[in-house]
Amino acid sequence: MRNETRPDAHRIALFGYYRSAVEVAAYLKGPEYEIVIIDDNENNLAKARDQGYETAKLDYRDDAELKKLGMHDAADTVFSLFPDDAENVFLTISIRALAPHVRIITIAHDPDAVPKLRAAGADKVIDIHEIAGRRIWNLLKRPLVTDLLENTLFGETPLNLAEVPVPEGSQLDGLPLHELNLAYEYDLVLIGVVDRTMTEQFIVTTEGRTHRLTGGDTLLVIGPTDAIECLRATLAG
Amino acid sequence: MATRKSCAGGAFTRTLIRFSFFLAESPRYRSVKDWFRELLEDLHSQRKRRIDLIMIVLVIASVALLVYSVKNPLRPPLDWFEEAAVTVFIIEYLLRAWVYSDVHRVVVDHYERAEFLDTRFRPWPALKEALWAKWRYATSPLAIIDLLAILPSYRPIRLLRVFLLFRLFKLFRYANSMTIVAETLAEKRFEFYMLALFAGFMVITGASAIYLFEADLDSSRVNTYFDALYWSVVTLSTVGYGDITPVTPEGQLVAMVIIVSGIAVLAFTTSIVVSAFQEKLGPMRDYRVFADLERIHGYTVVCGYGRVGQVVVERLAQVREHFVILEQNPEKVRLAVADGYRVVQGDAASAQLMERVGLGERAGTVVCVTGDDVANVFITISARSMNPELTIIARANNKDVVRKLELAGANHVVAPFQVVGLVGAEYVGRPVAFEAFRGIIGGGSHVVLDGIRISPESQAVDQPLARFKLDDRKLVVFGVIRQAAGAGTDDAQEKNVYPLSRGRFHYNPPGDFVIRAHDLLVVFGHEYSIARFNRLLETVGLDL
Repeated sequence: MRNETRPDAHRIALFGYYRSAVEVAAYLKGPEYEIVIIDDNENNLAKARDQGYETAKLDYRDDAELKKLGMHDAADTVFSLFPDDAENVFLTISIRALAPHVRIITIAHDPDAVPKLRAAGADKVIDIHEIAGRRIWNLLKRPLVTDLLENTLFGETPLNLAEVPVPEGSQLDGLPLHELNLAYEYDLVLIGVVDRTMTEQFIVTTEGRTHRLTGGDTLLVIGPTDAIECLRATLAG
Repeated sequence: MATRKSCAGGAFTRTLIRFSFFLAESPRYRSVKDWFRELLEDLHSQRKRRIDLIMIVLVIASVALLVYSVKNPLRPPLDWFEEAAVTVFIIEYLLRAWVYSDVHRVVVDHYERAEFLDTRFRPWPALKEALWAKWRYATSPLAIIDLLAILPSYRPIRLLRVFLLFRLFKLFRYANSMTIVAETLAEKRFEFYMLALFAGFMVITGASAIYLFEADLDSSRVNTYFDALYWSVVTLSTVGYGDITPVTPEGQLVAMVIIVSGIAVLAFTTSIVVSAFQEKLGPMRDYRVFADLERIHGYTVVCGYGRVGQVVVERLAQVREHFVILEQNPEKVRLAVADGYRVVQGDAASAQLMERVGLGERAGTVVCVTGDDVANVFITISARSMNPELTIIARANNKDVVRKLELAGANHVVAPFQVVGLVGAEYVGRPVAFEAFRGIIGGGSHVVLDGIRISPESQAVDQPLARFKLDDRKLVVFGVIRQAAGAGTDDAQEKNVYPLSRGRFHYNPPGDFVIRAHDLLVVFGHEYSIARFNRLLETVGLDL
C-alpha cells in the first residue's frame, strides 16, 4: 500500500465499511497501525474519508484488482467485515489464495457460517451474536467484574493487557513462573505465558507454576502502561 | 370518605346507610371477606388449591354415594355424609354469592354521590344495583351448576335426583384445566352451531321421512314419531343399534342418506375439536408457564430468542437458573419449545404480558435482546417503570441507541458491533494471548476471572491480604473492588486506585492491604480453586 509513513506500522486492510468496520477502525486509530478501507460502494468510502481514513475503491470479486492493489504482500492483517456471510467467505478465499501468510479476521452473522469461514482460510472468525450473548451472560453472572474490565482494561484507564516477550539470556530466562514475583517488583499481574517451544500453547499462571521460562516465550500481563514499559525495557537489557 | 350528615328518610334508610358505612370502615370485615375471596376466587392462592382438592374429593364421594344408594339403602353414617356434603355445598354457594360483590360499597357510593350532588339519597336504586350484581352471579353458568347440585337434595323435589349428577359438573370449578377445555371448545361456538343445525336438520328430515314411509306399516317397528327420531339419531351417529331397521326400499334410501351425512358430521366434529385444541396449544402452554413462574423468584426474563438470546439462554440453562423467554416469532418460539425452555409467545413490549410474567414483583433480571432497537428501548423503559429494583441488560444494535437505553433505565448496555470492534482490534496485536484471555473473561475455559464477596460476618474482615495465602491456593489477585468507601475509611495508598461507577478498584493491592466487609476480591484461577476458597471463607473463616 501507499504512503508508508512508519515502516514498522502494522498494515491493515479493512474490507467493507459497514457497522462493524466503523467500530474496528475506530479502535485501531493510532500511529502504530496503518489502515486502508476498501469497498466498492462510494457512499461507504465517502464516510470513511470523512473519518480521515485512507480509502481504496475496488471490486473485491476481481482477483486482478486485488493483485493490483498489492494485496498479495502489502498487508499484515485483513479484516473482512461485510454484512453478508457469503461475501465474507468469498473475500476470505480470494485473499487466502493470493496471500497464504496474511492474517485474516472476519465476522459471522449466522453460526453456520463460522466453519465455512474457517475452511475458507480465516484465522479468526468473530461470531457477532455469540460474543454479544457471552457478554450479556458475563454481565448476568459477574456484573461487577465485567464492569471492572470494561472500565479499566478496555476503557480509558492506564491499565492494559500486554504481551511482553522474554528475550534469550534476559534475567527472567530460566526462572519458574512462581518465582517471577512481577506483582511486587513490577506492579504487574501475570496472567500466563505463551510457550513458543510448545506450539504457542498458552499456560495460565495458576496452572503452570513450575513452568520454566525460556527465551522466546511471551508473558501476558495486566498493569499500568508505564509498568509494562519498565518491564519491557528491563528485559531488553 | 364523606362525613355522614343526618339524612332525611325513614329508619330503614338510616340503618342501611349506617350499616353500610360501618362495614366499609371495618378493617376486620374487610380482612375476613378478603380471606374468603382468596379462598374461593384467587387463582394463585395455595389455600384455594387445597380447598379445591377437598371439594373435588367431596363431589366425587357424594356422587359415588348416589350411585351406591340406587340399590342399597343409606344407613346413618353414610346418610350423614350426604347431609354434610350438601351443607358444605350450600355454605360454599352462599359464600360465593357473598364475595361476588359488595352491597355496602354500592350503597356507600350512591350515598356519597347524592351528597356530592346535594340530592336526596334514595335507598331503592342503590339496593337494586347491588341485587343486580348478585343476580348476575346467580345466573352465571357455574353458579347454576352449583345450585342444581344442591336443590335435588330437598325432599319434595326428589324427583330431580338425576340432577345430583350436576355435582360432577362442579368439578369444572375446581380444575382450571377443565375450564380451559371448555373455553377452547367455546371458541368454536360458531362452527359447532352450524354443525348442530345441519345435524338437527338431518335428524328431523330423516325422522319425518321414515315416519311417512313406514309408520303405518305393520312390519315396521317405527310406530310413533319418537321411534322415528330415535332411529334417525342412532343412524346419523353411525351407531346403528339395529333394533329398528327400515323395511321398505324408500326407508332404506333414507337410511343411506342419513348414514352418509352422519359420517360427514362426525368427521367435521372431530376436525373442529382437533383444530380448536391445536389453536389453543400456545395459550395452554403459556398458562402453564405463568403458573410455573408464580412459584419462583428472582428469575431472568429474556426478551427475544434471536442468536444473542439463544446464547444467553443456553448458559442460563447450563447452570440451571430459572428463566422465561418472550418471543413473538412463532418459528423461534417453536425452537425454544423444542429445546425444552419456558417460553411465552407474545409481544414483550405489551404491558399485560410483562405483568403476567411477573416483571413487577418476582423477576430479578430482564435481558432485552430483540433485534429491534425501538422495541428494546420500549421494553427497557416499561420494565424500569414497573420495577425500579430490576437489573436490566439491553442490547443496542446501533451505536446511537446506547445512550438512549441508559436513559431508559438499563443497567448495562451491550452493543454487538462495538464488541466486534473491540475484539477485532485487540486480536490484531496479540492473537494467542488474546484468545486465552478472552477465554478467561468470556467463559469457555476453566480458568476464570471472578469476584469473591466478603460478607460482614466473615472472619476475613479486617485482615491483611497476605493472610489469605492466595498464592498457595493457586489464585492470583487482580484487585479489590470497594464499594463507595464510608467516611474515614479512606486508604492511604492512592496509587493504583481507579474509580468505578459504584466504588473504586484497587489494582494489585500489596500484602498489607486490609480487607473490609463487602469488598469484592477479584481473583483469577481455576474455577474449583475459587469455589474452594469461597467455601472456606463462608464456613470456617480464615483459620489458616
